Amino acid sequence: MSAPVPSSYDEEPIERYLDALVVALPGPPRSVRRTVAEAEAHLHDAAEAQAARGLEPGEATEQAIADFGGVGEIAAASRPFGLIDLVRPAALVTGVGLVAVGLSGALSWMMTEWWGSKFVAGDLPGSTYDAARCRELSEYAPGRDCLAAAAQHHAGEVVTFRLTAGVLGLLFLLAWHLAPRRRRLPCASVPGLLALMFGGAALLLAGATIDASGGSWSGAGQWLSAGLVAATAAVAFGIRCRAEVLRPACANATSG
Amino acid sequence: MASNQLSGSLDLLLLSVLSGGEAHGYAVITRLRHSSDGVFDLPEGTIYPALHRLEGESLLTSRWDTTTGRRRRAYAISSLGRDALRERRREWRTFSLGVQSVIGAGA
Repeated sequence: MSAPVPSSYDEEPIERYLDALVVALPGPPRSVRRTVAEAEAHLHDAAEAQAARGLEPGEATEQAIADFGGVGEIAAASRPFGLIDLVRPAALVTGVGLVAVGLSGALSWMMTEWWGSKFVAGDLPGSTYDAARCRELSEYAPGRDCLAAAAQHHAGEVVTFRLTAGVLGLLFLLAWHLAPRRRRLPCASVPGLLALMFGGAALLLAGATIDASGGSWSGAGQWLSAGLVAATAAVAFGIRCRAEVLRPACANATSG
Repeated sequence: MASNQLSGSLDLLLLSVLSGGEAHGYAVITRLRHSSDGVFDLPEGTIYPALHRLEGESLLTSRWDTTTGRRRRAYAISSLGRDALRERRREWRTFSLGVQSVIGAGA
């Protein structure tokens, strides 16, 4: 019987590293065993290569383990899909939603220019304001009657608040763009979610527009402007979703 | 290179490396380092979860290989993986052209 060939590197640190890895790795036992088996082969290959480059046995193993990465790093990369992976897609969805609100603000402004403040933010027939509120409103629109001043003031608010939301949405999109990519969501999930979100909003806003049309279209513009943007976005994201679903690799691949 | 910059492109890099032929994890990382002239130098162990995920998405296949005496898991790209690689290469070229045109030719 021949004596065992001495190893060109120190094996004990690899054993200790693998012990720590077994404890730290998340997931079912079979998955843990497989990762540990691969890590073991990798570390022995790497230590052998370092020793072949001339490193001392202890240094060769140390270098191989350092290159492989800390146990915590490997465990973190092995963890299942978590909430933190949703932060970036959530920033995208929020940003797109707020930018759509901003676009509806721009459309509301155009409607105010074309058809007047009453169309965008006029009150329903029969609405009244007390004298104190009328005085307050007349400061925003001197020389106009109380309801017209209220419409002008409220139309201005609709435009300003929505445009502000749009700017906030651009900041969310910037954060989305700059944030490091983590796990990808399933293929077509983000455009699908946006299509559903905008589609639902478009239906609700269509109902509100029709409701307001019964009051001689007074105030209908604020719903109509948002509804038109929501419907357009729903169609655009629906088309994008369909295109992603039809991609050859979509059945199993990821995107986002 | 910062590992967070690399992580978004890791799938594309692994698929590209494996499109050159079946390989086990250590060989994949060695090919990756050599073909990038050492630019892509990530913690080597982090490629295994990525390889497992790509296999879970049917973009890779794997088998245990013991031909050299040591038991290693060898990975190969699947036909679905080749489709995904083509698509991701196209996406990457569009993205990199966009970045280049923003940061300018002098960058």
